[in-house]
Amino acid sequence: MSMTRRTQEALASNLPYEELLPSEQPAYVHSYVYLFGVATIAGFIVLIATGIILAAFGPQWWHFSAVGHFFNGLHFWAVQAFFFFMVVHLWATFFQGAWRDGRGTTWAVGVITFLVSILTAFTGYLSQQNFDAQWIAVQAKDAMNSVGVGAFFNVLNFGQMYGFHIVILPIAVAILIAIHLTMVRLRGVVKPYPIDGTEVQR
Amino acid sequence: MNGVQDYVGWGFVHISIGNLVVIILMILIFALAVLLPFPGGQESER
Amino acid sequence: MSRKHAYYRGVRMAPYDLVKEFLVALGVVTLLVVILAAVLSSPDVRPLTLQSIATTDPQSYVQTALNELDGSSGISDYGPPYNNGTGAVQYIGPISIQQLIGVHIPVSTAQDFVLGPLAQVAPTNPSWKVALDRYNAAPARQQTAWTNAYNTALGKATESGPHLSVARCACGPVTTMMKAMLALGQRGAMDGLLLTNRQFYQTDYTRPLLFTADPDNNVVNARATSLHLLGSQWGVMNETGNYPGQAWLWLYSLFYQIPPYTTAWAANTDALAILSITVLSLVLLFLPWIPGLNRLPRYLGVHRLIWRDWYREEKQKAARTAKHNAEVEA
Repeated sequence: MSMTRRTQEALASNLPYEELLPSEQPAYVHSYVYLFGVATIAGFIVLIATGIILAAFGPQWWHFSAVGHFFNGLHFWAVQAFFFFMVVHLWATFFQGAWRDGRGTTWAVGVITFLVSILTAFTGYLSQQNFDAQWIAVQAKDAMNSVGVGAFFNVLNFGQMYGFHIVILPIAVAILIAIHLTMVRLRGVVKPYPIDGTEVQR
Repeated sequence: MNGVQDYVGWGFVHISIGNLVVIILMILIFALAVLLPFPGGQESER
Repeated sequence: MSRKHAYYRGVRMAPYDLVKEFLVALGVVTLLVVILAAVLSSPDVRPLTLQSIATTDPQSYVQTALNELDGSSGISDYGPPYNNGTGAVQYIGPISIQQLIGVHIPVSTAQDFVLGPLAQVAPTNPSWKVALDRYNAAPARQQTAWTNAYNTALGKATESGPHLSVARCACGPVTTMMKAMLALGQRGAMDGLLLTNRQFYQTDYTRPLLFTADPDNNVVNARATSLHLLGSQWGVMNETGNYPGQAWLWLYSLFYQIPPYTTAWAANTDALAILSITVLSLVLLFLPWIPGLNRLPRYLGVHRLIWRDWYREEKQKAARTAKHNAEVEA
């Protein structure tokens, strides 16, 4: 059998589209807390869209153009919304013990997404080209240097930080979100803790 | 918003009003999401 | 049957419109962001330039330049990755990763911040050239004597707006060199001179930022203090103005406020704060596999509220089954 056929069959049995986009959910998926994940993704999409506009006009644009400043405002508040919903999503999945029944790696990928997002936001703050960016850079250099990271990840190097912010890290976050979402869809939504007091296996 | 900053503090805690509002809203929204009845019937209620 | 269907066996399924949910979420979040941006705008405090620093506080600016020249500035003795100093070297226990990794972005403050820029412009001004040549030709001991004398004189200098009056001193060419540094700073030339030593296109602000924000520079620190951006002011999570900052860094920011980070560990606060946040991040990452912690939410009981409808349904189902069984037995 050809490699293509084998890939095709593996995808068909493990990743059929009905699994990725089911039209029904278990009856216990019945609370507003389930909406914070999708709200985080919505925030990410707004971030990418506004980020593309800001990148297209260049890093100086928004300091001198009213339209540019408005798009910076959109990007700024989208960051706040993205982290707002991501953190509340983290709380919700924590209280649900959502890593149970073989979902540990789904949780772990979510945590990595959170950490990489923090780094993405950090490089964004460094790319602002204002006093905030200057100050964060000179302060953060000491933390980065203290553990040797600063030698390779130079927060004072605008070009390097801008590249990380607009290409490397957002692509990483997008891929991580895609993996996280695929895992959630394939494994399904974790069952509620049993009411009779017996502990379920992980 | 670009004016004089407002901060509140208790002991060593020193937080800007902006951050405080965000954190309070997060807790509030989470509590509401947990407590508000979710629309759509349960089998037993149909 | 897929793994998911096996997992869901026996669970009542209900219609759920994921696409609609996504579109509604996207609409609501977009609307929210548009309203916030339109009403509250976004922060943008102008950056400091060397020109503005040299104009608003010439004494502090010249003091920084002098310290860079005589090797007494915060950056001169910083250590890796800039140079082989020890001033900012931090340790985790007996180990300094900073020193193990070594110098990767070489910065020699005297050459890069003072002598290099002056050498670039000296040919345009004969008195600057004479002073610079004299300084470079002098033995190190003589250079130190000049800079020490200038340091004393600068301490007694008076400022009047952008003008700096330094009393006559036995400072040799250093007086002229510092005058040149101030003139270049106030005319905006230093901002460029620190950038353009290597090539035409510039995207690396390492040297201008190190010079601008040298710990000796009062203007930068005063501005940051007034904006509540110092580490000791929880500045890591703060934003200029009344805007929310990086609130998600609260835990990391906390380390800079509490003992032993601020007391016994003060010399290595950064390294130990990073170590601490790394350990805690790993705990969060591996939470599903940490015995005890992975059962914590069960005892916290918030899940009883989240799934209350489901639990009620299950209880009713169990009651019906029990009743049915009792009837069958009777």
